[in-house]
Amino acid sequence: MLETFAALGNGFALALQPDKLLFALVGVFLGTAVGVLPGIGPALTVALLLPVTFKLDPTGSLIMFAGIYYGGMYGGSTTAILINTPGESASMATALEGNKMAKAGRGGPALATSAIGSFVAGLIATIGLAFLAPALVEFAISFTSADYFALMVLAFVTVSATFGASRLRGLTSLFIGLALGLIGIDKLSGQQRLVFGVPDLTDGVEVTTLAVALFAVGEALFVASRHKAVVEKIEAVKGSVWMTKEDWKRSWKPWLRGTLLGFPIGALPAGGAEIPTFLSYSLEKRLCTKPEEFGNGAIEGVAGPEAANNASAAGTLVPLLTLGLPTSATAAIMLAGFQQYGLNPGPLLFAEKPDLVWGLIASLFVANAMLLVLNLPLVGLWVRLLAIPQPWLYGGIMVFATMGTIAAKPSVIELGMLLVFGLMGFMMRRFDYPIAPVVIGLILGPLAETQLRRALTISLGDPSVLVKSPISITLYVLAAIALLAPFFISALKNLGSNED
Amino acid sequence: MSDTETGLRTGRSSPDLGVIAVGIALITAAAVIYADAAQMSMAPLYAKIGPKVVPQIVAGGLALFGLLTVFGAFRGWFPAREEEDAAGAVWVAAGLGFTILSLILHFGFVAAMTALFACTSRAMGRRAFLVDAAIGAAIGLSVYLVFTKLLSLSLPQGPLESLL
Repeated sequence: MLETFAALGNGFALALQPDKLLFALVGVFLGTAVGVLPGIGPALTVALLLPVTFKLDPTGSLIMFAGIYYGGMYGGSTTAILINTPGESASMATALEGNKMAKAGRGGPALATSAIGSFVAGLIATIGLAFLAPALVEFAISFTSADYFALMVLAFVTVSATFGASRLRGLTSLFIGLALGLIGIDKLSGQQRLVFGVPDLTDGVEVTTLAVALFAVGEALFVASRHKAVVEKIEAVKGSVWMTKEDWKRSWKPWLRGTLLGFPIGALPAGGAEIPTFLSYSLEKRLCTKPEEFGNGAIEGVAGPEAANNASAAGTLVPLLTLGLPTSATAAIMLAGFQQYGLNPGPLLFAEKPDLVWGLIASLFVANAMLLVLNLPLVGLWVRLLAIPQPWLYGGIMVFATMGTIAAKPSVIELGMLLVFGLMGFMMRRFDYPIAPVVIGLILGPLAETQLRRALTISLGDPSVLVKSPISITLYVLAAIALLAPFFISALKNLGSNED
Repeated sequence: MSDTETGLRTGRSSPDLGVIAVGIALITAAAVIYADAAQMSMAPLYAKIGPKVVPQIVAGGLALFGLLTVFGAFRGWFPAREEEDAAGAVWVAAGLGFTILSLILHFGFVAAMTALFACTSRAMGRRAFLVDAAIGAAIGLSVYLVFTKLLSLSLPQGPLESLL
């Protein structure tokens, strides 16, 4: 406990240096500005802005990243409230009530409760991260390769198969990602895999290229292909942005409840902020003293899900930093950001680079505070960004997507991948395949393979090593439950309704 | 694997051809991965746990999901798709294609971004190609200046960029 305070103190000493504060400020500003654009979620925000940080030192760039992450989250909820176009599924619950509030002329309080709720949730969840992480690191240090592999299998299953419309499509997406992760030189044997004699492919597929292609190019193709693209009306921010006494009274409990739902679910290797936001939405609906307001702009329906969303975003940093395990598309791209500096998040990073880790955690507090101060006064500016006409918006998105790829690697193959994966993202949207499992499969697949082969090498090829420790057995059981539970639930329902 | 079977059955009488194509693409990808793994020559050390094992698992998974997808196409597992307007998507792809071409032929960054912005804007239904091209050129130029002068990253040069 005391060590955590000391470490966090050192982190703040680093994060509060003027140049680091500037990085955090630039990150928060850029993150919000890009995140507020309709159709751009936090994952794409981080992927688009990654090239900007190429020439910075690792600490500065990761601090900027922390700001971009939190800023992108905040920008997304502004969009959800004002034009009912959630940039990501986790903002859908916010859009339900938030947009109704904006239509009823209460956009100001909706933005305020979302900003303050995000701050409260971010604060509590970051404290949770600071105290949970060292404990988890101590536990993770005893993990063997077989245990790590089991953990990754669990993450694969929960990320792709547990939530979402279809397990078949989720697992297919995951395996597409795993297949793309095979491309390049195998680290352990030096053997080329799926390179087909193209030298550019020996380095493998860049996570940022894939993410930008799937999220930005795929989305642009998809929107362009739907001719009757509806232009959503932007609600003007009417009235004061300040909340009344009653707004405060109705908001503070949903903030705390949302945080309590969001942080643990985010911190589990389960992935996705959608679940806690929708849980929070239905919880608030049930607890609300004025349930008739739900569906017409109830402030609880904004306060709770927003807090849950932010808390789970901070929660996903727990497995990312302590285990190197990304459980969301955003976390996967953050992991790629770490890797670009040769840093591998996990228990060792806490021991080897405590400055960097704790500086990053302290920067999350700083970024969170900056957002609260920046966003409400600047809401007029964000609203103006929302007013960019759709053709120019997507033109800009395409320019920035391409620019990032060219700046990272100016090769024809790389741009060709941008186009090919963009077309793949387009088809995936058309056929309703989830995107995030592809990105997670690409980055986590090679790590899982390394652990698997390391474990099997130590055991001289005996596969029983994979299920020898209680940790790995528990993890596999959890993975099996996560994979099969929806099947049993639907079977039971089926039995009840006797459909066929 | 049959979770959508219960909820989303649409009662479609004819198989969904698009979904069948997706399934076949997945099976083809599996075959390519399997063939690539098969042609690796391995030192005996790697015989059991070498670089072939995981590609084979991945290929197996993709093949299984591909078969299930084809099966699902006949059972109506997949949601109905909206009508699409291919022209819009073609404009976006053409813009990106031109960018690739300009990298090969050294048109330069600004020219590529001009075309990309104008094409994408056209794809979204705007019909002011020259105005949009001018906006694209302005964005491309400012991005070029910020990236090369401020962030010291290099971007592809063409006739225009070499004057700056």
